[in-house]
Amino acid sequence: MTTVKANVLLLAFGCLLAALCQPTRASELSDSRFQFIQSFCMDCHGPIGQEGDFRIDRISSDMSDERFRDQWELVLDYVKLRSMPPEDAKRHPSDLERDAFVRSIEVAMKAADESAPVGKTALRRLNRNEYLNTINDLIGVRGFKLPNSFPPDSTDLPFDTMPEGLFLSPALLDAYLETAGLVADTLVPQRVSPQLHRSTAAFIGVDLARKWTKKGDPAVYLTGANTSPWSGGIWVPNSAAKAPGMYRVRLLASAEGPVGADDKPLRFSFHLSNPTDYPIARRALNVNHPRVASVDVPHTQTNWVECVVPVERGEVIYAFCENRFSEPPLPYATKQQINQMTAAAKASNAPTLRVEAMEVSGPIAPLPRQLEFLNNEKPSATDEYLRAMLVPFAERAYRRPLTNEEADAIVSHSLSHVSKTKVAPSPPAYAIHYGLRRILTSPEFLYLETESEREDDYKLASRLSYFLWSSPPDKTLLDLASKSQLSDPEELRRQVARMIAAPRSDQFVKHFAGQWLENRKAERLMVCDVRYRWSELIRHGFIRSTELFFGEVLRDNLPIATFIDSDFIYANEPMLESWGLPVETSISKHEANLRHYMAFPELKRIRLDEIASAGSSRLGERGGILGLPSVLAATGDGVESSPILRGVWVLENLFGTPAPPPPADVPAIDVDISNAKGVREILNAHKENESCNKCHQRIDPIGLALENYDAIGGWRTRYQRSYRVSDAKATHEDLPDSSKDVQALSVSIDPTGQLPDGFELEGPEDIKNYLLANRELFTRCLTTKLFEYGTGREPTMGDRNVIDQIVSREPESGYRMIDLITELVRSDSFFGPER
Amino acid sequence: MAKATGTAPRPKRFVCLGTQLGFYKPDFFANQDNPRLLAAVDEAGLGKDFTTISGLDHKGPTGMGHELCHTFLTGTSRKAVSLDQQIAPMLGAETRYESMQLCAGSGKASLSHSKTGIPLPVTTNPSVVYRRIYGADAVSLERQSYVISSGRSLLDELLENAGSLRMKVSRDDRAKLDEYLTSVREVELKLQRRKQWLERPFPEPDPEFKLPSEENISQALVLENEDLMWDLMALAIKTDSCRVFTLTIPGSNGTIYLGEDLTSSSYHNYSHHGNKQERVDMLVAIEQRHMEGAARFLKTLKETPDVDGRSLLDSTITLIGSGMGDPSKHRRVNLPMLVAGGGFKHVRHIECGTKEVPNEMACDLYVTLMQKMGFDTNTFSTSESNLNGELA
Repeated sequence: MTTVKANVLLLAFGCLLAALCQPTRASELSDSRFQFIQSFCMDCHGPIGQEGDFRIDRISSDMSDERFRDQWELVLDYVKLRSMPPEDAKRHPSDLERDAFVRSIEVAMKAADESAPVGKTALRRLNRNEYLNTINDLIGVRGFKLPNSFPPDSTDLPFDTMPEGLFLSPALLDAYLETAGLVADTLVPQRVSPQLHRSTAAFIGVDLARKWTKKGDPAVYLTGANTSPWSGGIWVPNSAAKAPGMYRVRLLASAEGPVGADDKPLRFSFHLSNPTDYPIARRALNVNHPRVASVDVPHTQTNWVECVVPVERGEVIYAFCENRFSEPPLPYATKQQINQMTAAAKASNAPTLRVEAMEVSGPIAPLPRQLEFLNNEKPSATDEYLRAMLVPFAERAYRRPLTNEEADAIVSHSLSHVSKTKVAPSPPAYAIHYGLRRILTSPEFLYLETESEREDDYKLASRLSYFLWSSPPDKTLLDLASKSQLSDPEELRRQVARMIAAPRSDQFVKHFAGQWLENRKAERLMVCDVRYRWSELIRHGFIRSTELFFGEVLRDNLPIATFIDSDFIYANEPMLESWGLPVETSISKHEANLRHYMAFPELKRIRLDEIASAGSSRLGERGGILGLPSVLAATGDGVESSPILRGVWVLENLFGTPAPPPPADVPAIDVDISNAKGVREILNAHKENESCNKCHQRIDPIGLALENYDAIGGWRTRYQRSYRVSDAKATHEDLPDSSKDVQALSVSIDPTGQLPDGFELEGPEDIKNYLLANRELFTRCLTTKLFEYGTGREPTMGDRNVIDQIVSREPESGYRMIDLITELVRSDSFFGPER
Repeated sequence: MAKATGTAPRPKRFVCLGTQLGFYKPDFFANQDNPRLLAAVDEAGLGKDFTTISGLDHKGPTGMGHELCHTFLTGTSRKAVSLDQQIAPMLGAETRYESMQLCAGSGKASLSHSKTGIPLPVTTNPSVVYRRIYGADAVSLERQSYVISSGRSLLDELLENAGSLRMKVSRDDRAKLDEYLTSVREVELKLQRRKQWLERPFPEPDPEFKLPSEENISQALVLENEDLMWDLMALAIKTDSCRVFTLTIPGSNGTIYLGEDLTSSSYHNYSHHGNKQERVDMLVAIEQRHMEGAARFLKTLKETPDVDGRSLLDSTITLIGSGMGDPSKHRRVNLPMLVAGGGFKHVRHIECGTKEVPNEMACDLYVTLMQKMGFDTNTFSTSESNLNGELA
């Protein structure tokens, strides 16, 4: 075998020494601490050694100095975990000395923390999701979409609620302008000349329907079960509505055969759908498509049947044969099955609709909701009318009452705009149109909490509702704010409970858990289907299993220890099957990839003891966050698992003790791994170098303990194929293209290892046990994550102090989820009095 | 900067096709035996108009699976400005659109990153590109004109209002609000430009090009949409509507139409071919479609004279490649790279990372391309060298 040399990068002690740092002087430190540093640290981390580019004499002893605090925390960790002084050091402290040193730092930190102020959340714009929710909340228009030009948010930070990641670029402002225009177009009826779209039978659009034609007959015949996705919808091609409004749809049609399945005349039902939501070739009758009208079709004689329906911009009207069959719902039918059903329907001379032509015209009138928005009045360009129209809208948009000056400015600008504009159509409507656009592009709408003079409950209402709903505060919250009752601790408790019970807390599940528990990555994950059984239904299962699991802990106010280990999971059959569990699945492989064509069935809640007693012990490896496939898969690349990425993930997201990122520009060192027989031996290279080992002694044992999970979370006891060095991510840099495979066929997996404090790991169960035994680790980690998501900032020392207090108040039986959120929301760090 | 030699006019356009799933390199580089992926360009009579370059790399961190394909035009980090956006302000100053970011199918992937490193939104609908080139009906043009001019007075007011708000917020928050103020000013300029162009007539539609009667941008039709995008880019160049383009071919998770038939596995899964012949053949068959579109596009450019008499091919640099070196193994080394046209003396193949051509940074190539287009720069991303000696 050829020698494989890997470049293992030196992991240096993360360090930000700057010229501005103040040297530590003996006088500033307690004598014992100074003694300890002199005796055990200075040889390597003083002016002579400077190991890892770190000098302990160059960091300020002031624990409240944010610039050096991180480094003191690291010093504390290393000494506490006995990583420092290293094994080969000349001198080692006694346990007594070590404890005294640790205690003295901790005391100093505590003292600094107790006096530190809580942080302040910087002004920030709404993120993309909050922005869309806020618009939808304001206008309540079905299917409103952001324009294609709307740029994505940066994904650099742990949460998309953090101001540093929410940059407002010109491209984004341009998109805000465009969106504001779309919203105004949607609310205020536009003068659009009505258009007529007409198709004769040959040109009518038809999906995978049970339909046929007859020679010499200029018509299309339709039949179909309305409960099947492929049920025979027809539409006029290219008739997507250019503007919202009432549209007339007409069909030249007749019914043949007896009455429908419900003994009533056959009828067309009309449904609306935006074709950009679904691929055109597979437009399906989906339960989510609103059914807006239906009309009876007369027998024998061919006549125009017509109907006027409310249509939103971009929607197409689909006509279905409504009451044709009473057969059970078909989740999916292949083309072949449809052909068979069609042949059967033809042979049985069953009731059928015969269509010669279809027409859509409009808009012929404004929508009822548009008239209602104008207060059912004819718009007028007067101060009173515009005030009545725009001020309430602006108050909802700004999530607080307007000042008189603000209200005057909006009204007077809109008025003067009309007098300035030479556009012919309807000036009053344009004044409203303009006013709406102005409100929706102003910083008061786009930024959260702009009005710094008013430290009041309105800000708290917004903070709370964007935290738990990713949406603007509702009437209840605003009413409480107006009475200054929201900040009352008991009221907060009630509101948190109410908000979590509300359906909108789905947003919290989706976005908090989506980022913390990696569902956003699972959404984009590409999985090698040569190695794994994989389908879109499995991806759906991965995402939903995390959402349902998190949602249950949240809504049922379960103990937060459930996150560490649970006796239930959510799964669908293909997920279980992909994990190699014996499952009877009723869904075909083809069907399982039709994510965009059909609604996948909801996952089942599975109690692990039931499965175990049913003879399969295999699900014992599930439960808790460490068993969630979104987490296990997101820390791999869809081909191989990566113990390092997994270890880093667990430290960051469950232990709350993140490993520093590998330094960018440390020199590479060569480690000979030519005889490596798998990932464990490759990772052992880290132990050969102290600078690697500093971090990897914490990372690698955790990752290795999870190696029984493959790249998508299936359970394995052996590596099935040759294990590639690069896939182990043993190196921070790629290897040369050749000699990349290490022959390690069918190596059995050894999940054993040891945490730096000596805790033995023999698999995922032990990581769970460790966390359960050290529960303050996870409580602090979860509280910090919630804090970061809710306030959008990294905790300052003062915030950490507040978080520690919350952790220290954990009841004997452990926190429950809603209770923990309530604690956080009521703390000064979430919404402090000194703001 | 090395001044462009001679009096030959500089290329003034840049087109980049980037796939998210690489290209199968044994059939891509011109120094291989009968590379299948080059057959289309050779057959189109473009055998002397391109150069493939092997051995280039971004030297970035080993990414998470597919993340690295986003660095194709940005270099080592994906959070950086992309080559096209670096050059667009200058190259695109005189055209209706400064640059276009296109994507075949609904994958929404973008090769282009803004100055702040954020991926720019892509246009996925061919009909939208068509309307951008040829304009819309008179009613909507009148409306656009109103929206732009009222938008400008709206921005004026907002600027005034935000200015007073700025005085009320804390100093830290002022920086955030300044992002808003800066953006307002920049968008005002954009609107001004848009308004000016709106007043100038759009070109007459090309009678030979017809959009399909119904638009379908589903992932399954990624190749059909790619064909349309190639044709639309040629039209946009012929009408001089835009001079900087990126076209992304997203890696599809689902099966796709290859001609009349749906493939039995997904594009992405074929890319994990593990050197199995039948999977490689399917992958190459899909990639051949990219190259057929490219060949048709390049042939059109070659047959069309630019205003200065040389062909559009010579006045346009076309770069075809991927930030994914080997999708089968998620490898980022030895990126597939092909440069066509642009007035270069093409040599069919350059092998980098060798004794003869020690350069191996992909951005060395970008420096050469930028200099050829007249930019005074010696670096791009982490590269400080160039390939001027090999590709002149």
